[in-house]
Amino acid sequence: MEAYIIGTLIVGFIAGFLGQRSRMCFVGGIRDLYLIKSTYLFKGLIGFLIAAFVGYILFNNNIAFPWFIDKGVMTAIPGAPCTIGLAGYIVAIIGGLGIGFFAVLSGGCPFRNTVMTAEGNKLALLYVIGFFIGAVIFHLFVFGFIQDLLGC
Amino acid sequence: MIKEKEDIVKKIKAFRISPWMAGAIIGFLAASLQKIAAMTKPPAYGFCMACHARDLINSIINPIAGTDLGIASIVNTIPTLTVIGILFGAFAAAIIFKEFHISKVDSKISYLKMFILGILVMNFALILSACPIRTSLRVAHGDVIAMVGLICIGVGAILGTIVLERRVEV
Repeated sequence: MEAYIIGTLIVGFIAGFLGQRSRMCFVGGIRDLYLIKSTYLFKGLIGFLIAAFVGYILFNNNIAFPWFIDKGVMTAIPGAPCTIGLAGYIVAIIGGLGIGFFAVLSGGCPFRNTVMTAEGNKLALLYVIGFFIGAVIFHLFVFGFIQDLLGC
Repeated sequence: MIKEKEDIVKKIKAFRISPWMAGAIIGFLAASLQKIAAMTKPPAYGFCMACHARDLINSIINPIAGTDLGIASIVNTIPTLTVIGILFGAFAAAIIFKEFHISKVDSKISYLKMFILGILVMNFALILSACPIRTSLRVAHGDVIAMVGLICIGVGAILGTIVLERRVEV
C-alpha cells in the first residue's frame, strides 16, 4: 500500500516534468488534429496507447487474451455509477461528450491545466480548485442523480 | 572550449521532449506501476487525474466532516498523490528551465468561467469515471466501454472546437 502511494507520487512527478517539457495534452491533440491538421500533439495519445498496451502485456494485470472485456473494468471501484451493460455505454457516451466539449473550452485536458498551474497560470489554478470542488459536488449530488436516472 | 560549454548549456536549456516520447514514457510507467506496487485491485488505476484527485480530496474531507463520500477501496486510509506529484514535477521543470512566470489576468469573469469549467469537467470525468488519460489506459487494458468513451471524447472535442471557431468568427 505504501509502495502504491509513493509510486503515484513518483510517477506523478515524472509525468509532470515530462508534461511541462513536451506540452502533452490529449484533448488538445484532437483539437489540433481537427483545427490545423497538426499531428504533433496527437502523437502523444498514440504513443501513450501503444506504451500502455505493451506495459500491460509485460506486467500482465490479469489480462488473458482475447483481452476485450465488455463488463467494464471499473466494477471494483465505488464512486463509479453504472459500469455494466447498456447503462455503462450510456454513461460512457454522456461522460465522453461532456469531457471533450468542456475540456476544449477550458483550453486542454485536466493534466495540461495542472501543469499550467505549476507554471504560474492563475486561470489554470482556478480550474484546478474547481476540479477538486467538483469531486465533492459529484458525490454529494450528481452521483445519486445519475443512479436514479439510469436505474442502477 | 568556452564556446563548446556555452553550446552545451544552450542545449540543456533548450531541452524538449516530443509529446510522442512523453506519452510513451508516462503510459509505460502508468501500466507498470500497479504490478510493481502490487495493487492490481481496481484495474487500470495507475494514473488518473480525476479519480486520484477525487480520492485525495474525499479522503481528506471524510474524517473531518464525518461524511462517506466515495473513494476507491484501495485508498481508505492514505490518499493517492498523483496530482501533488504532477504539480511538483511541472514546477521543478518550470523553475529549472526558467519558464515560471505568474500570468496577469484582469477580468474576473474569466476566473469564474475557468472555475465553473473545472467543476463541469470533473463531474463529466467522474460520470465516465476516467479522465482522458485514464480512458486511454483503460483502452490499452482492453475495456470496450472505455473505447466508446474515448471516441466520444474525440467527438466532444471536435464539437467544442466548432463552437470556439464560431465564437471567434462572430
